[in-house]
Amino acid sequence: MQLTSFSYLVFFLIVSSVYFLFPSKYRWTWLLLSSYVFYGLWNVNSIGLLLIVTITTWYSGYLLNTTNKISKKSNQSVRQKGILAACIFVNIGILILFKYSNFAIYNLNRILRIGHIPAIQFTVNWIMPVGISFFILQALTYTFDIYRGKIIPEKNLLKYALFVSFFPQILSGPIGRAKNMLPQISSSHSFDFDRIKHGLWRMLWGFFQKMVIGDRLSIFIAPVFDDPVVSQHGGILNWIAMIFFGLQIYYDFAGYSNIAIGAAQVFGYSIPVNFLRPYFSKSVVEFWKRWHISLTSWFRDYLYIPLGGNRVSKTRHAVNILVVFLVSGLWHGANWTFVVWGLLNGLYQLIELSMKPVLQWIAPKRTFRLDSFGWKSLRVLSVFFLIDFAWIFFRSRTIHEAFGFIRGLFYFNPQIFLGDSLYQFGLDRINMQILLIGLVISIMISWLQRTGSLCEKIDHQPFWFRWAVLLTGIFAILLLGIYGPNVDTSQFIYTKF
Amino acid sequence: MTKKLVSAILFSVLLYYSFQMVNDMLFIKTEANAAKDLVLEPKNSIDVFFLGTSHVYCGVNPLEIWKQTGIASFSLVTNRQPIWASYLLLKHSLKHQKPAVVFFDVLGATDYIEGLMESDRGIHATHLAMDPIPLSFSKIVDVLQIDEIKNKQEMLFPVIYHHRRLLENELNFNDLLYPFSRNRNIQKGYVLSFKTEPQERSAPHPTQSIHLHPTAEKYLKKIIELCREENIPLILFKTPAPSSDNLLMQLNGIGELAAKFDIPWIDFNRLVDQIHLDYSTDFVDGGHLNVFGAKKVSAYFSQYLQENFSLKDRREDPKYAFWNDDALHYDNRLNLQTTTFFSEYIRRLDDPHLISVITFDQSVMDHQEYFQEGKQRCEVESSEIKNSSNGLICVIDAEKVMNSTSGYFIHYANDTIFNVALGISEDTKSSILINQIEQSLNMAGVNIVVYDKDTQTVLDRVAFLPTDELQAIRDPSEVNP
Repeated sequence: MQLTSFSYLVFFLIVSSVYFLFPSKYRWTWLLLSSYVFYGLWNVNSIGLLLIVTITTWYSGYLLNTTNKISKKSNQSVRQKGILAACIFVNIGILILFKYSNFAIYNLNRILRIGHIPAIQFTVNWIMPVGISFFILQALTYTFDIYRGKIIPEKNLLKYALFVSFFPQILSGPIGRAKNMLPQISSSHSFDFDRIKHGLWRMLWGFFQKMVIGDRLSIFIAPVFDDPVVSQHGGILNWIAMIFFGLQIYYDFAGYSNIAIGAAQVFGYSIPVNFLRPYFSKSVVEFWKRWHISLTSWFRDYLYIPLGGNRVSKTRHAVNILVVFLVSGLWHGANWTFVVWGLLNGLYQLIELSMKPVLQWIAPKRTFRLDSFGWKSLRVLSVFFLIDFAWIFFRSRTIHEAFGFIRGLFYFNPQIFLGDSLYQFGLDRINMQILLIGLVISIMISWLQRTGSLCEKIDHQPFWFRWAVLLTGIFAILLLGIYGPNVDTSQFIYTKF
Repeated sequence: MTKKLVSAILFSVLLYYSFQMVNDMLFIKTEANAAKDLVLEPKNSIDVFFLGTSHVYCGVNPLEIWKQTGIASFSLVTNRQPIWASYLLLKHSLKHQKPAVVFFDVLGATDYIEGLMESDRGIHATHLAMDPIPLSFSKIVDVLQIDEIKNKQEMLFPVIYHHRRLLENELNFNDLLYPFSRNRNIQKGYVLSFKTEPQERSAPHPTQSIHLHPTAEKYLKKIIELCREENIPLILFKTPAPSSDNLLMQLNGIGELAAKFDIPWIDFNRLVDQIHLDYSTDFVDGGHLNVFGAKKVSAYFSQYLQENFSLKDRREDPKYAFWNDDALHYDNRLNLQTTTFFSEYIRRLDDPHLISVITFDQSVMDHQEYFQEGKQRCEVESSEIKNSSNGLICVIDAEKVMNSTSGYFIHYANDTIFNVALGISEDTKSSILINQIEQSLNMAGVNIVVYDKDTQTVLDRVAFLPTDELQAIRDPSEVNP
């Protein structure tokens, strides 16, 4: 059940309506049931795996707490480390088994081929459970935080099960933290009209981002990226496809996140935001603080900082950054393209760090202000280009295709702007125009969000204005959205991870 | 909080109606949009339903039945109507009308069904029948219960299926105005066709029978059950058509099923001689009857209804006065092309469903006694005609009469543009462009182009020459140079 389907809307309508009929104290039970039904509708066989992740992380939390109480201090640390290691082993093991087995076998066979050793004739044909990369990381925050003494264990396994399986975020996050989510499950959530309204507004905006902008961009991108003949001689087409993919992945994932956050908000739950206008960042470091925030902060707190963060030597710091981006790349998918994408972003950060002294040296000699529009715009555009360039590896199916695409960037074909050549790649003139209007609306909304919540700003408008905006939004999605029979764009990019 | 809840409810109502309106704009309109057309008829005003596929909308003419008996009937037909859609359409229509008799054409119960199951054709045909039905709780329940409808979301929310039409430029002005349109289907579901294609008569009827397709039988039984629950007599029939042995054997099977349920069964393939059906003149193609064939089948139904049911003759009933108007318009459509007398022709233009563009020059003044009605209808004086160098233009749209002595006139009707010009050159005395296509016969005297607003087609192009009695000409080659 895709989040942009009518089935999801009907499901959400039923779940949210019944939710408020339940006594406040037991509303979480209905959410738990609904979450399992929702997940089961994707693939009922994956429920077993969800249960394993839930039980192992919950039980390890219980054991960590018990160890804390009964063991002597000297034994405590060793036992706790053992429990934590076992929990990580089981859960990350599951992730590796499902996600990386074939990748590992493929690479091992390549090595074996060098030594003329017969290849391993085995492939894993299991269907990767949807959302596995997300809910495992989310569940592990519970074990990690108990280990660190930041939270106390949740006694009720069912409440904990809701934390792991909460349906708005189970498919692709945002990756929640136990310390934020568990208290919310135990607290009561009354029927707050404004909160529900704002949640629905947010969902609507998410649908617009995904269906009107993101999916429309994907129509142009696929024929350019996926056809080597086009991508190796695309020239301006490649530039456009590169920029479009940078935008698509944002609108696709930001759209999903807004639908998830909005849905959770309707139930009274606050889950973390994932994006803060990332393409307005003035440095790559800043970009990664504003892009997929729930994942980058997870890696920061549970990988980068344990590795020593920046409180180590410069070399070690650089290694830490590269390790985090390497893992982040691999987390996105079992393919060398993701590894290169991750390392390239890590490299950007290292270059940026090394540029600091140079910039400090140049600073006194400059004749312009650092906060001038021209300088800030140059930085924003540079970051946008660098990030978009890295996305080439993210989008390509193989490294070879990615380099072919990069070669295609240098193909000179300005004649593409003459005639209708540009409109031969899935998006005709009217669709290009709709895309441009959608992007302008999105930029305007980003601009308005700089100075506070847009929902509150709309609340202060007279009712006719609010209704007009709402109806326009709904029908813009219904009429201009890319969906319907024979349309295969409804899947979110991140549900594949 | 109460204020906010009331506001939310009001918004939901507004959203529902806006949604409905958008659906109405988007769905594919044909000459017969059964569910929507029926809603525009006064509630509980229809006595007889004819249910089925295009074979019915070409083969049964409710206005012929009306003219002969005064019985108000309506064809609940859509193109390639699958039998499950027939069942749902009937079920939905019975909420609006309480007919005394239902006739069901069984083509949908034959192996015709196989081409519609799990195919794009079937999905499309089901949409044609179901989309005009507004979203309601009962529609949701019905669609969910029909196993043959696989894409239930699309069937309930046609916007999913049709929204691409907006960007693919398939919508026209009439689509956009459709939700606001209250235009009744004046032919009551009948589709008029003059085309004639001679057909071979079927071989003698085989005696064997073939059992019905299980799905067809399931829905045929549902239709029977529904009519019994509603206490409405059901009659099964099949319009005449050249048929294979296989089809005739299936019809035998249906006859047996009808007998089992004690339901009257009319197989017109066996009544060909009785109704004097002529295979050389009465068919449009291998399955559909033309206007002449439909007249014969409708005459049979008229007689059948009079003999078997005591239905009221409503021709004198003031509530049914619009049926007489509709019948008049139908007659106009039928007879305009054969009318040769100018005064009769002008009278026939008195029809709100038509737009008539009339141009005439000074030569008509030599035949004033015949042109008198034209002058009155166009509301012009003799002096105006005499003073006009190029001639006069008169456009009649519903009750509105517009005339121009300037030699140019533009008239807009929805997305149709009428561009009229006189005396452009020596050869072009009268030019009548409809959406940039020349329609005028460009003759001396009177030139008339009649446009049918309902079907959006040119109904007739005629010139009345300035000869004695204003001779009608439809083929310019008939005029001697």
